[in-house]
Amino acid sequence: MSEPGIFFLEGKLGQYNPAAKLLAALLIALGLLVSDDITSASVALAVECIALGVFAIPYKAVFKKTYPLFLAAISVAIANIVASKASSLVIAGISLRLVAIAMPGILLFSSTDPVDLADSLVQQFRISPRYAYAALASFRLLPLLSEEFSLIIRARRSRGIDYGRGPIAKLVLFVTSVFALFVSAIRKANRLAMTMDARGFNLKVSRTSAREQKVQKHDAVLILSALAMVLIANMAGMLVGTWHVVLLSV
Amino acid sequence: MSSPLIQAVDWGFRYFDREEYALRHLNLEIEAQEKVLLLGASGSGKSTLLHALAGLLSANSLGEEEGKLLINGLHPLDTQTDVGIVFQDPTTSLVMSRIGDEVAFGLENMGIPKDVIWPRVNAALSEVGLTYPISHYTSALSGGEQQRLVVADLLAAMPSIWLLDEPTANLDPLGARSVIETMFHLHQKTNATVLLIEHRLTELVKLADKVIVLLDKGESVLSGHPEEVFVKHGNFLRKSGIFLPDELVERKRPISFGEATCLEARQISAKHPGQSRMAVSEISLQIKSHHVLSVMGNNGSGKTTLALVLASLLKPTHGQVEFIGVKNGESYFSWRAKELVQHVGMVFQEPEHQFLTSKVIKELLILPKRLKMKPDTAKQKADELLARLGLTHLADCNPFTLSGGEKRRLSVAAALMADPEVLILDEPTFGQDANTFYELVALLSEKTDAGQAVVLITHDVELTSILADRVVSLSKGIIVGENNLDLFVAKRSELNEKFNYGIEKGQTNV
Repeated sequence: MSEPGIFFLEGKLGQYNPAAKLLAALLIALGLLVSDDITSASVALAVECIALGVFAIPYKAVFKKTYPLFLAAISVAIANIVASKASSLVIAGISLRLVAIAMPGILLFSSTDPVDLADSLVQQFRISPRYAYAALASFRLLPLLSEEFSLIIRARRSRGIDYGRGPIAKLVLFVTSVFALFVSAIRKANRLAMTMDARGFNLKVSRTSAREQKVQKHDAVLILSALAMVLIANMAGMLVGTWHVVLLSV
Repeated sequence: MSSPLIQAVDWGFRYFDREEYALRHLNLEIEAQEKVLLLGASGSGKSTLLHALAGLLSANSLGEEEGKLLINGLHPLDTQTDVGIVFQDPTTSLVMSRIGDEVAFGLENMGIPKDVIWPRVNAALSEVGLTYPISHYTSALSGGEQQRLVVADLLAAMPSIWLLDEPTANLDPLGARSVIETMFHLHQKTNATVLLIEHRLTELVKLADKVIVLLDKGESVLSGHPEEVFVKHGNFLRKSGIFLPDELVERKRPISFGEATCLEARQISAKHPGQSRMAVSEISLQIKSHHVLSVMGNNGSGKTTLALVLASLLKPTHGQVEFIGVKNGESYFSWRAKELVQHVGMVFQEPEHQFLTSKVIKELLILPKRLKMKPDTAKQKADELLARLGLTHLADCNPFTLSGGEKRRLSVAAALMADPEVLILDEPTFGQDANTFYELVALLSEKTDAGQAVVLITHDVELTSILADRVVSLSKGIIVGENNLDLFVAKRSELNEKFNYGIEKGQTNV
């Protein structure tokens, strides 16, 4: 019902193995951090846009989910124009790069059920189930936090405590309420941990998996394509002559 | 002679954050396949025993243990797969987001092969009557369905010992009924040993062939066949705070028609925090002094949202609420909290959120201090309330470490410190034993006689029939019935069918 939240973009990306998608996204992010030139960033972004078509993901849906990213990119550009003496080409490069790096990550999370991701991390990356499923379970509690916070504010009002007059009184209430939220979150997590142990999560048995996350040919293609895209983007930068390694300039 | 399945030999457990043992010098024996009803007053250590048997206390190293507690001659930590537990609150018992994955979780932990998992998941789900597809989200289930899912978790793991810690306590009558029916259905088929905790002796008691009563924190134990124990020791048990089956609940208060109106709600509509759908629509109500109003309805009927609006904690989208006789020139919803608490007290369904300090006694004194009450008067009042609500021995404890029933009573006491004209209580009788239940009723009766207005938000038919003067029934956010109590009682069988206000204990003497 309301549970999936940000998940499930239309398109074929949902059929890929979550670990493969994660690896591809990481490759792209790392590969695009090498240089800070505009050519490689633009090429990468262009390839990503073509990829959206290949995966049959509607542009409109992507924009709907990623518009905060574009806002961020624009504000980075504005901040740089105001504050730094860098050329507008460099600034545009930084903003485009931000979008190009973040896009695969957003696509990953909006085409993957978190349960499948946890399964895949355990099955393909051999991450301890103890961490993967505990993180998964606490991930489910996250959306409840804001509701919990307003409940705490209400509960405090019922005990005679509200936003006082003046900014300091407001800050004090905010800080103490956030503290109460932490305490309550920890208690919830403890209770959840106890439930999980009661279901045998702490058994010293090797855990099986009810959902097999398969690695198929197209997953290998996905990873190789990501690698190819990073190489092409950087080589394009070299050819044009704008390629410039970030770490060397420091 | 074979040794018993479960055996406690001079066993005790102390939580690290408490000086006193929760249970000590406990000796008991339970044979295989016995169906045991575990009884004891509020705070008697029943849940501690169940948690210990499930291996949860030692696994989390929450405290220190003495003596021996054995299952099949082994420490509970080594018998975890033989034991399944169902807690009170299903919302904190669910791990995964979909019902199939949820039931499979326990089986994966036990290392059961994939081919075996799914047939067992499907069998367990159908056994508890959940017919949704396995990809159905657990958050879309009702409370009763969630608790049945927890029972399915237990069934799929096929433990030989079932521990049930008040499985119907947090459910509305409709949900409770479905869980009770499921338990009866399973009871006929299983050879498992069952330990059940229930405060209010519902029909589930009929499943028991043995009763064990924990007394004096485990120092002594009464056990035997249910009829024998209840007949022979009825009076004694009753004095120890244990509800008896078919107990006649007597109403002592005459029905009052109330006096002056102190709070009036006109045509209010409101959304439950965090949701987009209207939780209550166009409700008008008058809250009167010397009067107890009970608002009844199943989960999701809008009771709690209505309570929050009446307590000035949630602004309605439409309509007004007026507190009559307080002319401070501000709308009710912009009152400062300090002024609000002097007129309206509210006890939450989850009282934990209302606690502000790290000591029970401080919790009571914080409000008088802010209101500049004389310290001596405040201290005296706090001590009186603690004594009446059976919390004196906990005065120096951390409120968060209290049992569910104790937390609720503390929250009532804290609200009463400011002597508000209106007191609103959301499910005040959760987790109360017979003594604390009647003490709470007596205290609220006195306050009403002295002029206070009381609003009960509850599914508890017993509480309503012995304390309330008027009943408002809510369903899907609208008032579907409004009666004086005599009519409520007369129409009860009809109401029972319509809203499933299950009356579990036979006829009640009103």
